[in-house]
Amino acid sequence: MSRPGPSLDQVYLRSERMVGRRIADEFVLVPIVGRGADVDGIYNLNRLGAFIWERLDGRDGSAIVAEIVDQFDVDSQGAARDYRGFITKLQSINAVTLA
Amino acid sequence: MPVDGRGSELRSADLSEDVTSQVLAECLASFPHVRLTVTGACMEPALPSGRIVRVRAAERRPPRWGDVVLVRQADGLRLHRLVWGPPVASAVGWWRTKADRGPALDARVRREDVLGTVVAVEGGRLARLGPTVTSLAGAIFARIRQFLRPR
Repeated sequence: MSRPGPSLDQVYLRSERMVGRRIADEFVLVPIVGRGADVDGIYNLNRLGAFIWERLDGRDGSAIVAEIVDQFDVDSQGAARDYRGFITKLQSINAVTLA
Repeated sequence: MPVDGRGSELRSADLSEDVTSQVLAECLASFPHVRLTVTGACMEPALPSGRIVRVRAAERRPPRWGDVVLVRQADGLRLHRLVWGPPVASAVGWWRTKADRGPALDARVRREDVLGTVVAVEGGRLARLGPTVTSLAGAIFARIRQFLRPR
């Protein structure tokens, strides 16, 4: 049975096992293993990814989608699809937890 | 204002050498250590390819002669052995690194080019003195052979 996709009503939080850093012109996610940074497992985020990541602080999906529509050239349907897709990817690397 | 930036939001990092160097420096400054996977055979048998090492920032663990260090060379970042460095060399002068299996010394580096020191090898241990002496002796003999070669 496939897992249902992320709902806009739910609140996703950044995992403590993943740290976001803006370095030079890049936004990267660095996995934490033990007390150290696993630099082999670093991910890049694009502007939208970084935008969403920085808002995973207790806001629900609807609020974040509304902000995406406000800031990016996209309608609410497209923004919701992008948000869900991104959260699914973050879940696949254990970068977010459900509040 | 609408901004461009949609598309693939998340991907495994494919960073330039310069950005990689900055990411590593930032991570070394922020965390007790960073984990790196060894690539290439130039440090075998001490560090086989695929082995994971823990590197601590040079500020937290000052590099010493014989350590394997993360060093910024002209051709990129390398995990090579510090064969000329403190305490046998001045902390503020030129230092030399070398791949254990490499025939020659790397280009001279300054203290600030050495980003970190390998402090642990996951699933193994790192020999220090023996490989250092062997590596340095190999480089010296290679240089002597070069001088003695008929011109």
